[in-house]
Amino acid sequence: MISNEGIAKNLYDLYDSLAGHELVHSGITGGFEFVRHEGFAWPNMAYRPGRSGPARREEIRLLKELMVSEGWPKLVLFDEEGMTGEVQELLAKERLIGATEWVNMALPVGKSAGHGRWESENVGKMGNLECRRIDVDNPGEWSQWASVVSGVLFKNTPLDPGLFRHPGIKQQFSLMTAYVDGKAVATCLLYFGESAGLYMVATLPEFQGKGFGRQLMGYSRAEAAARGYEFVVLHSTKAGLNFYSGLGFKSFGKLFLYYSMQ
Amino acid sequence: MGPNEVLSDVSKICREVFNDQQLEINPNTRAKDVAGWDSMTNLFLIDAIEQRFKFKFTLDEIMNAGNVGELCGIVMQRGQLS
Repeated sequence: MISNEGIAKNLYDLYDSLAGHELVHSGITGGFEFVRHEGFAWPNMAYRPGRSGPARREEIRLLKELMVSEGWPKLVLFDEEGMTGEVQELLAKERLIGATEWVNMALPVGKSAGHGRWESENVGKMGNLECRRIDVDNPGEWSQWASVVSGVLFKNTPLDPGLFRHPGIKQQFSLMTAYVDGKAVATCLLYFGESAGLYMVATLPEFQGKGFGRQLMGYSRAEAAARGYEFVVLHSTKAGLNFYSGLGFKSFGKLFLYYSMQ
Repeated sequence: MGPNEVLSDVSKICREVFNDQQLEINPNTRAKDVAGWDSMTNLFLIDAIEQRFKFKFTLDEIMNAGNVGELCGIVMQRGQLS
């Protein structure tokens, strides 16, 4: 079965897998872990696995010291169990401000899922739309994928192809792109953790609301099922909730993202 | 530095934060008027204004500033305008 803790753990596991990479700076302070790839948009995050319990005053102070002295990470994730009233007060005192909430969501995709919503659809190719897993070693395919992700999610801050192409990393992901008449319009990253995790879901603004993201989600769901996964999980912004609920995803709980003001 | 100069500088910061060099900003501009101005980018904006004018907004100001004019008003009161 899937749980709120399990969905959050999938994201922490993703960061943990990056933390061992030679290109990624990482460390631990108190119960917080952090990853950062200097000069690139991703990864750049502190997080606190649930096993650590609610953060204590000294741990938050040390994290803030790190954030100020190093200038990174600027963001820290908390799960619901760690977000006590006392923790919220401590965060405010350290000028760690709530930036947004993500909703942990999951969709059964394995044998137990029965007939999924995309069962009757040709999710790979439909009219002038084509969804496919890209070859990260193909410069053209990579640059189109990265351009959509960077432009939509990271204010055009670049992503490092070297990280995604590293043999130890690329086997953990599939990078998916939806093309319309050959132009990349939507993307996602399918992470092969304990559950299949959907990250970097992005659609160019002028192509939103036309069903392309839905088709790409269907294509990714099919790949997860083909690899034997029972669930696809993700962390939705408030703006994405209706979209994912419409695809059959169920909400399990929240993650809280805090931003470190100087 | 007067109100017009503060608004000009805040407008430049907005164009940078919201990644839109054509963005038109005036004192009445609110978050709903600007594509991409959400709770996250609002903090990026506040952070950038603090660094430019070398002061810190209070938590209440961060949460309650309603438009660009109010942000500029706070800058005029407490920011380093030289």
